[in-house]
Amino acid sequence: MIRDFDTIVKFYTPSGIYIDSFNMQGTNPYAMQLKITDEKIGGLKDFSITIQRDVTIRMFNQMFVEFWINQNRWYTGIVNFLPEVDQKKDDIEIQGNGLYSQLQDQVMSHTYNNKTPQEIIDDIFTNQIFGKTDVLYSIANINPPAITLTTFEANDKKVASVLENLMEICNVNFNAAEYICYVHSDKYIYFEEMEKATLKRNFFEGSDFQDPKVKIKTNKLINAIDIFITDAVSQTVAYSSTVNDTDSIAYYGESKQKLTIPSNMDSDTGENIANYRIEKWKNPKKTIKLKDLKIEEEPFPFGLYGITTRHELNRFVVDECNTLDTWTYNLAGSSIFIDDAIMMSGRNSFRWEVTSYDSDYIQFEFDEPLWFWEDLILWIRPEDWECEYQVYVEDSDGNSLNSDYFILEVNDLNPDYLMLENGTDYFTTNSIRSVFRNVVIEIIHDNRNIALENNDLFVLENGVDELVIDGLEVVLNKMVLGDFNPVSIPNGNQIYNIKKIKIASVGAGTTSYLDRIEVIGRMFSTSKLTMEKIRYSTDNNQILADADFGEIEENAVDKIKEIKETQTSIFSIFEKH
Amino acid sequence: MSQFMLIDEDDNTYLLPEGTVIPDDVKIKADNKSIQRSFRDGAVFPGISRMKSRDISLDFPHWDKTDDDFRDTINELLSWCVKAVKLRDVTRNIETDVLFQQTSIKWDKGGFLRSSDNSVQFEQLFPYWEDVNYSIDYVAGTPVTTSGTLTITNNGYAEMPLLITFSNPSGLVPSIVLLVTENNQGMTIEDPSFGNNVLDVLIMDSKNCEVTLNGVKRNQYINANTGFITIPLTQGTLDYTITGNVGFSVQYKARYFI
Repeated sequence: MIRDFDTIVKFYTPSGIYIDSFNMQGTNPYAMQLKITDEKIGGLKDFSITIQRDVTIRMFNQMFVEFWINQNRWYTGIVNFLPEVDQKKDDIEIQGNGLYSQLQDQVMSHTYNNKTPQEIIDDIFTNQIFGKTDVLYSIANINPPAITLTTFEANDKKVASVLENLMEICNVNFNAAEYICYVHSDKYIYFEEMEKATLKRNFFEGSDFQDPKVKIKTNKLINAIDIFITDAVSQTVAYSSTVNDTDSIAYYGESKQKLTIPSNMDSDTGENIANYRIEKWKNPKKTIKLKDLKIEEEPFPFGLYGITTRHELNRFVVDECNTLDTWTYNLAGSSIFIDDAIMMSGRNSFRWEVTSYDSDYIQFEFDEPLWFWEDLILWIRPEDWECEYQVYVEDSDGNSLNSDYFILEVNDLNPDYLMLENGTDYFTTNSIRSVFRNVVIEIIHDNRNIALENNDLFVLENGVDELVIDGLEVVLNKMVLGDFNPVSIPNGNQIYNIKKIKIASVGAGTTSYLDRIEVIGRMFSTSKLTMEKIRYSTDNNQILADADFGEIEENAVDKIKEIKETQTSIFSIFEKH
Repeated sequence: MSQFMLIDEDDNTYLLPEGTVIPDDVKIKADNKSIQRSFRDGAVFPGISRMKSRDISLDFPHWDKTDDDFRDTINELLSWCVKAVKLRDVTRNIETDVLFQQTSIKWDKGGFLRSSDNSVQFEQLFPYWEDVNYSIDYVAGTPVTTSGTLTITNNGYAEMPLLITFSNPSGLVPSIVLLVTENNQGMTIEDPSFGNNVLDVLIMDSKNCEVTLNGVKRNQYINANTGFITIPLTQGTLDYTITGNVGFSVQYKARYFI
């Protein structure tokens, strides 16, 4: 069961002359252990190679290292730490960084007017730091969005920081288009949109991973930013504008930060940066860490991943009914008010006042279908006994349950006797026997279009909670007036997925509240998150990967600073027996 | 009494001495989390509860042999232990994936070479025994527009994974929907490439949790909130809807705890 892999570590001088190589297959000279960390921003972050002490090889700082795994060059880095010659350990651990770390040492010297990010990056790499790093450059690899910056001045003049600044500006629509910058194994720098339209992989619990570490991070929530601009002369800061996200503030309360931009940066650019930060941090972040993933022929690409946990009862909140913004609707004869006084959860509910109901509806559409659901739950609070809803469920192929499912409301405050009258959809009462009151009835049937027959008369007896009428299974649930009640609409595997939920008002002259819609099912649960960081390490004669998903680093430069140990000793050659 | 056999990666076999037994005091623990070990142990479908991977011990009958014979016997046994990937119960025709751990050989006191306390231990990589051969319950060899149900009998004692092979597509097959209605486990695959070529073969292997197209893993085309399906105890109804024309077969091996 041990996965075959073929790993070679090749060393080159700074001028590119081949020195020697190690492999992991046990023939000398061989590396005993590898650790490699790859990040979304920057690319290869750091690595370490542990080799036997009795290996004879020329080693010196600043030499290039290439990691070839399964016949592919995965990474290229630079050695920046060699252990002392006289150390007593039996093995030697060589450490290094990716080439992106070199951009931390380089400083830009310009400010720009009316330039795009591509033009700025082009100027930096072709004029200002040309030949000063080992990072290769081609404008073909630089593809930021065409935003013209009226004036641009970086807060921090280090090139890596400038690139981060530009990423913030380009990521103004972070959730729709995310731009990343990194150094590839071919040593070229890339600035491009990260492809997030399709999943890179889908990992399954029980096979690809065990025991995922899942967290919801709320400590970095940002939903409002005050922007200040530094005055060029006095160096004092003056308020410019505020950017915020009202939905996030309504949900979580205000969490404001301050952004101070340099004097030679226009306010639009400042607002782009602020909008990016809010887009990124306006909601709590879900993070998942997985361990011991199988490696493949290539490094795992950065992008969107599916992480599917095991099959169990899952409950998805479709909508909290806080705003109609996420719904389409036709409310000719009805009014929906957003009510913040009477609610069960969230911050609002829909108060639905129906005057007439011919074609009135509200409709929710999922971004992607929710498969293999079992129950749709509507939390409804009736204020009148005649309020009725008809629920339509449609799948991704346009199949629908339409009238197969709907809810009838017993509509008498004091029902003594309950019967289904000829040819109507209504249960009515007489005063002979006191049986059910406050009842919601769901009729489940393949084809609700069969009309109730003329001579049908149905009596519900006290204590009966289920009965069958002409093959219709009728399930009764108690419904309490003036309180939120869960109304369950089972699927029965009649349609595989939900794409749209349409709720139509039926009972005229009624008022009700709709607070929350949920879907329940025993199903798998897939989280779709971007991969942020991955660490490859040898373990037990195989290479495994630990990956972090959904954890977005505040600032990649800071992370690089943590690890980077600047070494100046070029050609500190030691030859060791 | 069962007779046991070791099997290597190339399906070569070695029959263990007659009289080899699994000791009486077998302990099996339940595990309510996912399986303890990682992928290299083989996938176990993450259901509600399962058995842990465990050690399997085999006790050998006593050997009365000359010194040379004994050494030959032990050498042959050990060489097979280290390369064995499966342990098969030949009598019951079931097997399990194993990794050799240790052996114990204790000499009896006395002048004649006699060893009555011999055992070998394996780690069971997969906490089930399963049938040696696949049962094939359904084969649709020629492309058909497929939609329907298939009742699959599970004669084992644990949830049973399926190996479904879709082949011979006549044109693109944009989606495959599989649902086991009894346990509501469902998978939908929307692989945009499947069916580009009539030789395309798409395999859904719920033992190893892999969807492969022509041998290349394609799990990313499994829809969100869907996953790998198993057949519950006794039987399961596989409800399938395939958009496009494709032939397919359903294979499975029943599982046993012991």
